[in-house]
Amino acid sequence: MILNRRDFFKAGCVTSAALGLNLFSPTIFKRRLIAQPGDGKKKMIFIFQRGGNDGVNTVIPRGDAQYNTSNRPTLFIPEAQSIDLGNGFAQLHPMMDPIMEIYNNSALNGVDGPGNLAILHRIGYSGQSQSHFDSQQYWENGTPGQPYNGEGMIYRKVAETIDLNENRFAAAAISGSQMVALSGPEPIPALRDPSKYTFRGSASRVRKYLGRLPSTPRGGDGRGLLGLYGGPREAGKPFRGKVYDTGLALADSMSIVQSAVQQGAYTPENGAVYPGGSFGEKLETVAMLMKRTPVQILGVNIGGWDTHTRQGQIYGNHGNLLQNVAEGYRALYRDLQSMWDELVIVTMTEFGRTSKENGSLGTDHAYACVVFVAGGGVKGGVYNCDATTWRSGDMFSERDRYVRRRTDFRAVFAEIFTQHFGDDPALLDSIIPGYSSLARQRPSDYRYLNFLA
Amino acid sequence: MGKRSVIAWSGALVLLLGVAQGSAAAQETDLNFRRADANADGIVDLSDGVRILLALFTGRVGISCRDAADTDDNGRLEVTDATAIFEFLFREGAAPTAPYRVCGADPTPDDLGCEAFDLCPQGPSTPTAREDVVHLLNRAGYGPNRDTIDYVEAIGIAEYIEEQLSPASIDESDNTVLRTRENALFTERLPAKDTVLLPAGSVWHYRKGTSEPPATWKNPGFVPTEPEWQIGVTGIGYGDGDDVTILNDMRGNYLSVYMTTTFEVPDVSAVDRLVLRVNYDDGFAAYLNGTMIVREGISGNPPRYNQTAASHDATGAEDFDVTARKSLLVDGTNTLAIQVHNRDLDSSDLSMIPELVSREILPGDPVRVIKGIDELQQLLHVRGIYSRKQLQAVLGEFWENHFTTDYDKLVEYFGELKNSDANDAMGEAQARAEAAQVEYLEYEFFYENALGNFGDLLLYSATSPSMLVYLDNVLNFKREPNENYSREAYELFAFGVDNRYTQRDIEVLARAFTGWFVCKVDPENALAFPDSARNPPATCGVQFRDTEIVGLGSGWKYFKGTREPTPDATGAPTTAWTQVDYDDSGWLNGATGIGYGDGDDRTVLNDMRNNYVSVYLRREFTLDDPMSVENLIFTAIYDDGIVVYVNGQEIGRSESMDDADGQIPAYDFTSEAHERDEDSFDKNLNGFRRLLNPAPAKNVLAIQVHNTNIGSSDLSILPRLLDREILPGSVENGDPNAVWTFRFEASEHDTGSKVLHQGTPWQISIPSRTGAAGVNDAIQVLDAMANHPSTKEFICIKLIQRFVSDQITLNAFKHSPQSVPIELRELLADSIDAWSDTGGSIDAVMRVILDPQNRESAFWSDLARRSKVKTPIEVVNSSIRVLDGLATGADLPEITDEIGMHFFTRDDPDGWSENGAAFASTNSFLEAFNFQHKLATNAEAAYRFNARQFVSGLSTADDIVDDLISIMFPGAVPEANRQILIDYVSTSTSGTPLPLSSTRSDFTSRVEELVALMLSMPQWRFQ
Repeated sequence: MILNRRDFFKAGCVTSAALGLNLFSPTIFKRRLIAQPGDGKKKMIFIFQRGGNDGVNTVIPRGDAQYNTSNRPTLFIPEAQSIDLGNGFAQLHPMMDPIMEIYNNSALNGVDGPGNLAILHRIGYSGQSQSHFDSQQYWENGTPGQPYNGEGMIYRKVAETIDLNENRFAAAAISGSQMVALSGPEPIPALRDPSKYTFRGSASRVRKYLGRLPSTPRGGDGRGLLGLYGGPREAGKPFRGKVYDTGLALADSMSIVQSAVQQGAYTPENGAVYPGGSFGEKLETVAMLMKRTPVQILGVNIGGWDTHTRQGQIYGNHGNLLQNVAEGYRALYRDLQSMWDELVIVTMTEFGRTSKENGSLGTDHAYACVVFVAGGGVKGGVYNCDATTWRSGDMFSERDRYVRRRTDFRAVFAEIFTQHFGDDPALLDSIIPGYSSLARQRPSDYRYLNFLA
Repeated sequence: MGKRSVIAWSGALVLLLGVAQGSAAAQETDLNFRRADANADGIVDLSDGVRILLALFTGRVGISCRDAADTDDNGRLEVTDATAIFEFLFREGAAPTAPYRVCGADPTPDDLGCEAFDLCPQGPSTPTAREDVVHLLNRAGYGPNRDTIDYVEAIGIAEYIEEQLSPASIDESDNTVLRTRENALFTERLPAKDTVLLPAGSVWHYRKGTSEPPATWKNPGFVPTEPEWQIGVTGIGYGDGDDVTILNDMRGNYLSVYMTTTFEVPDVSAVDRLVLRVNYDDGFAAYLNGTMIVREGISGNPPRYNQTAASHDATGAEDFDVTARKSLLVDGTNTLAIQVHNRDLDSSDLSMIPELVSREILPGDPVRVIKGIDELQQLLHVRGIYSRKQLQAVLGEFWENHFTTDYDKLVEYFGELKNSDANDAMGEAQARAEAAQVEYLEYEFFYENALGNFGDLLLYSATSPSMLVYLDNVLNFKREPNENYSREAYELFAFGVDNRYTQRDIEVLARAFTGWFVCKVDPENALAFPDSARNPPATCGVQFRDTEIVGLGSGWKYFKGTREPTPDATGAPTTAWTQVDYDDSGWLNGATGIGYGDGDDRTVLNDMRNNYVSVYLRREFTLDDPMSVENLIFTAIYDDGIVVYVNGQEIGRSESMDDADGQIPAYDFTSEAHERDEDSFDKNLNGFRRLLNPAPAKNVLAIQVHNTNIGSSDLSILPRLLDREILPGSVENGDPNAVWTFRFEASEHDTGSKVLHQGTPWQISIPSRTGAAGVNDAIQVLDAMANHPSTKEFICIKLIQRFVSDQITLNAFKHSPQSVPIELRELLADSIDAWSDTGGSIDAVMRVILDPQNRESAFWSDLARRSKVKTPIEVVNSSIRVLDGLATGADLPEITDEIGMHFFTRDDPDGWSENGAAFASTNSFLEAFNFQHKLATNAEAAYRFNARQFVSGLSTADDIVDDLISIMFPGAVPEANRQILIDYVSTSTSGTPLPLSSTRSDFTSRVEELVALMLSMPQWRFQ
């Protein structure tokens, strides 16, 4: 997969108005031969719902007679209170009403249409793990069954298709620690609050502290922090690349993020209102960075989905989380209209939850779950949750306890990579190891849902 | 290209061969390099020749190692060096001169130099004695500092390790810094007994602050008159969901509310300490018998009616000790008056829930309690930075992280408990304090037994109240086992992921753990470990006796909610139907339970489903002397929601009804479903006793019951009104003197026989055990688990990973053992032997891992040295420690959190990674660098560094840099890096060269900035 490990030195100069610095731009990444560089315009926001979202109460399979009060005594949502999704089968949790603005409208023109929200039910993978740790790892590394593969699927998409030496801020996580999905040999930036993503002290102190890179990679003639992190590395020891490159990536991404911050306070457009709390703040940061920096892919987390106890029916923990997500989608939809046609917003979650409610007013770890995809090129509608594909009782189609998957999550992302980003399908085997052979083995799992057709 | 045109080589190979080469003290020109690799990229290929030509003819590219570019080693850089490479690559020309196949230093003296060649190992191959010491301090502690280095060098490495393995032998009596810092994190709590004089949820008179009331309003004897003064039950306020009396018109109209009530004190001399407990938003002034006793967030005496208060949220009751004012109390009737103020007219909420408590200090020794969770987190830093028992501090953290639990979940659990008098067992503040103390006691056990027996650690953790709550064993019932803990016991605490157990084992173990709960006992009845685990109490000390005032059965009137029972002129609901004198003769007669669909109803509402969603109930009762009822308790089993009234006053509503304020109309659904077998609705009504009429006058209990939707399959209401007498000796959940302990309840235990690890040599067969012996089911498994091969393997690997190298993990060892270096596999085998010989002694395992005599072991090998990335707590502790910094502990948990790690509050049960590289992110580095800059430049009060003192006796840049290197990371800094540091401290801020001088005024600040840079060096991120 790594095509060429040689270092190239590229003399460059990024002027950062924010830091008042002239930073030599370090060639911190091993230059890869980019198989098929994109035009840099297509973008993606991915939202990881940590803990496992209860897909059955999110997108209700009303047509399945097993969705009833005996299976879900306190969680059952009556038909009258659910949002009809128009296919005579699926209904949406009432607290997700804000997302219907995308489902019902293709643009902010007030015209009802097929909409730009695809609701994908029964997404999972074969050999489903019910451990949070393993299953989150699989969704992020794209290699189910390999919990210790710490390299992210989306990282590989970035590394294979974006020249990280040209775009030093091609992707980032809005998170203090890096998401596995964006982890790999070359550090992808992670940040919390852009305004605080800077070194402390006066401009002259920071300038001296940062110093400059050596004139040759790993050379000894640098100065300050850049001289140290860009200088010689102890050979034969582990983690040197990780640590030194992270230091260099910090300096690089900082200058780009500070340039964005310097443009002033951020005002959302088109009446977008982000939900309160940290998730809404993160999404507002996402929108700001999408508009003011060359970033193409951003990831955010929203936690709290592990609803073993007191999940709540309409109001309550689960409803609040869903409302947060729906309001977030609506705000991004309004705010990012200027790039809506270039954008995809997609959710991930490690598993769905048991179709039967447990004894603690909640649900336990299960199998397949729901994915939401929105964007200007998205063909709205409900996929994998309709009377033709979902027979009554399918709520218990897996081991008499769970909803069985119908589509592998890797096919959902393969569709996004090829149909949205326009990546060469031949690249999929590099981004999602074993993709073509898996697709041959399990054609139905990997059939595109065509939500981007 | 031909076959040998590109010769790939691995760093590891070169490392092994390079070490054999050896070389004395490295100078700048003596760096190890690889001949002909002119661009130092690890490959000799075309680009090396091109690089030489470009350097010679354009001068636009540099060559960092000119010795390497001197292909023929003739001491000159010339075109033939490039052409020799091409000859070699394409025409079978001569190979480059040594060192070519392996790294090495230049064998011939010449004028060329080698400034950098990072792909070759540099420096002496034999570590110096100083490097040994620093390596040991990095692993068996939180890094080096001057004193400890001196100490180890004085007594020797073997003696130091011996001391660390016997922490009890280490004398810290003169370590005043540690003692002072530690003591500051604790407080002494006297045993005390609280008696509530005026409960929360009492009846008050209140007056809206639309104007100034008469000055006498707060005095005893003042007679509040309607309509200016109204009657309401606390909480009084609006907007934040904790109010019973809701002021819907307050926002935008008035800023304050005046409240007054009376309470009885039979004997003032019996009041020892007096506490006003208030949950409030935003500010208030309280008056006892007319005199102000507490004022918060507002000025003036009295504050004026239209004054604003400082912002304050009602997040839990806060205690104000007003013992100094207890002389204001009188025998008999007393008056408490409160004015509560909002922060502005548009504020979204207001709250006032006061309580007055008499506190008796009991005989007995004060208890040492941790001040809070932040202080507990600080304890890990304080011990890590200052204790001489460094290994114990590291292992204490290691076990705490291994057996991780979540303080937040414990707070939530405690906060939802009730006492047997149906009041909340404790407020938020007490819940936080008790959760912190439980976490402290758990950590302290791990710390004290850090080198003890693993089986004890495992059993302690399984029975610790914190773990029982965290992983839901307290929710593990016979009829519905909860697998949460049993899964993690295998996966995370003992065997390791997928290491010789099955899903069936998890399910059987969950059954073995049924009946494992927690409770509070008096301290004198608390058992010490291991008795606390092996012989737990069966019941808690809660004892009470109920007398029914209103029982289940006949005497009820009910009204079907097909329409509003008593609408006003506009059709809106009123409470007229709840009043004592309401004429209910037109209502139906019935017996409780009332409802349909779930088999518990004596009065069945066959027509309710799909017809109406609510039903209204009334019941008359009499009481001879309401004030003599010890605890007046309303309790009801219900489905799905209720609002309850006594004599026309609402006394409470279920959670499923509290999404709406005010009167609930007959047609309203509940916000959520609630089933009859879920928690009952229990409410202490002592605050309402004064509303009750003594016999022969009547009282009325009224209830409206709502369904969750019109088609619901059931509805239930089974209400009772009780007089509950709490018996002497009862130990309640909220008793602040009692301590939390593991409890085994045989009636909830699955007594069936059980088989685990079936078909393996370690099969466990559990017979059917009944009664108290049932606790042995899970203990038998835990005892066996502690010495199962999987546990030995997993725990020894984790210890080796922590102390030696990340190149071993359970997964790598199980699935590709050849990828684990042989030294580590040998160390693992020796560790497991030591475990087996001693039945799981961690001391024995650590002796093997740290063995100072075995210089061939992995710990002392090159693969261990500087191979681990520091975790966030290691970054923080080592940075302060190495500078002899003065830290109180404050702020450090927050900083560690920002760098990526927080203890006691991690959500996930897997604990933090032992691999520090897992925390590396640009944000984590940024937070660390900024912390290190603040530390070095003495910018914060909470952690300080005295630069001048630290470098006293040193004055030149070279001396200072070399001294710091020799303490922080001896042998790890290449000359090029050293030069950067010397330049850094020898230039002004603007970058102008300016020699460092100890007589210049900027000496200290320049040293501080140097130290900041050195703390952010890549070398300091390794250990």
